[in-house]
Amino acid sequence: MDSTSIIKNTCMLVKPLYLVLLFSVLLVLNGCIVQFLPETNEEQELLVVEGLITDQYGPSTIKLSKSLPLGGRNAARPFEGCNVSISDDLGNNYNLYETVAGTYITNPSDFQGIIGRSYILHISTNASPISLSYRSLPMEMKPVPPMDSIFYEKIAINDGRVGTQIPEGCQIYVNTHDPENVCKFYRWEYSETWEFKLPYLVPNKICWISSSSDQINIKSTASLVEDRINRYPLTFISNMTDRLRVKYSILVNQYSLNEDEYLYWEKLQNISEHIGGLYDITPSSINNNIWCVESPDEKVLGYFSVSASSSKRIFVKDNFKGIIDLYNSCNADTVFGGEPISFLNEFVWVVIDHQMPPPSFKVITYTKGCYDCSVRGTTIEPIFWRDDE
Amino acid sequence: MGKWFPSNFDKPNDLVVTFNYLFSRRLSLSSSYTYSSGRPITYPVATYDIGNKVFVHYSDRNKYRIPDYSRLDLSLRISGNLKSRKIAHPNWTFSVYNLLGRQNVYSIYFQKEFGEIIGYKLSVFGQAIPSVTFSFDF
Repeated sequence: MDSTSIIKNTCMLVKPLYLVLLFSVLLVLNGCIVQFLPETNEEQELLVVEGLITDQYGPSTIKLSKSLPLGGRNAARPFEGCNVSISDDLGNNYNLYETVAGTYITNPSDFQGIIGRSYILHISTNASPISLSYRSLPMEMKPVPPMDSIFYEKIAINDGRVGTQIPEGCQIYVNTHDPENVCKFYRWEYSETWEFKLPYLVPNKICWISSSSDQINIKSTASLVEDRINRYPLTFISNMTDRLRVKYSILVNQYSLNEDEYLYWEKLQNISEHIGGLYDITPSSINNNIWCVESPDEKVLGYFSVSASSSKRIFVKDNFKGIIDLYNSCNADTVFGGEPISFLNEFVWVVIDHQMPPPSFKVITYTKGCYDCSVRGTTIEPIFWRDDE
Repeated sequence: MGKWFPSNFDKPNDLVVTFNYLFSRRLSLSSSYTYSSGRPITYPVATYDIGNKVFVHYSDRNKYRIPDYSRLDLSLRISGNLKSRKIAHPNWTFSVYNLLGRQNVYSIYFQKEFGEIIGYKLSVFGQAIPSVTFSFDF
């Protein structure tokens, strides 16, 4: 047999072999996937503590809630009626007062955190059948340096073309350093506020909307020679939000952490944010600084944070290309003449009312947010809005 | 801190029982039963709110086990007429893999769907698989 007929014969052999292989692969992949609820003997409700005390004047807030088991839908379950107090290392005791359910605040004329002091949180619940008491480890308030600068840079978003422009996003960075080399562990939280305008001449045209940080932002300089952080990427504003269309402001709070608290946030970040890749760590329960006095094995979630804080605000008024227009699909219908409009101001709103020159017409929309910006935001200008002028 | 936990491959119990019975020279039955403990797993057990975010709380590492692995196989072998002067002696084997049809768990994973965490178990060969084999000795 010559070479071409050898090749032809092997190809004839391979074809059915290929089908057999394909069939067996499909058989293996005939895995059956069924819902599975694990049987566990865990506590159904765990105490969750969200608390931060700082050295700033003003009430400090401790929020207590209960965790939810896996089967249930997510709805916050505040823990009301507890006695919450803070003691310091000088033997003083400060009581907290419950405002809304589950939220306990300090009295600002009574208590203000002082750098260098250690604080312990005490909680006593009225859970049935017996009331339990919890306390935290003594947490020292370490000093925090002020931030050197917060600045932003325009970053081209290459895979998000809008028309012919390459859209731009805004990356916000933080620079800070501690000349005393003491702070070493940092955490940031931020609060954004931006102005937006509706494209129509309506009574509520200009509004402001706020949003807070939803990611864990932490950094350690313990392994660095100098206690200095350059260009920490705090948040990225993409073009798929209207934050940068008119004017945007961000208030950043910088907190000092003890090493124990830094490790807690790092573990939490690893199991909740750094997931989905090949090299994820196995999640498991995280230790924190609060425990139940009567049963030390009971798990408590959350952390009692004691930090000094410094803050800084910047404004962004630059022009960014390719920002999405959230209101370009508002025009629903045009109504000519003086026809009465049914359900006016209930399900239908007039955004353009053209009288002269005739013919007169009205443009209506079925989305209240296109007529009234207070559906999304507030018409009250924030106190700090003109601080940069 | 510093507590013992089972390793990812910890298998404390492992049992294999085989049974063979010769009815005649031409007919034989063979069966095998395998049982082993499930591998350790860490389950998500609760969700809680801190700030604007929902976090998942997990159990202690490898505190629980996936359901145990148990499988029964059966096979029946019928030989040809065993006349000595044949060139090749044919045999037919009829067997069933996983006779009990148990959906042994291959993997358990969790997904977040519409704000809830739902667990799933994946089984490969989750039913009895019959097979017929023809072989010959020469």
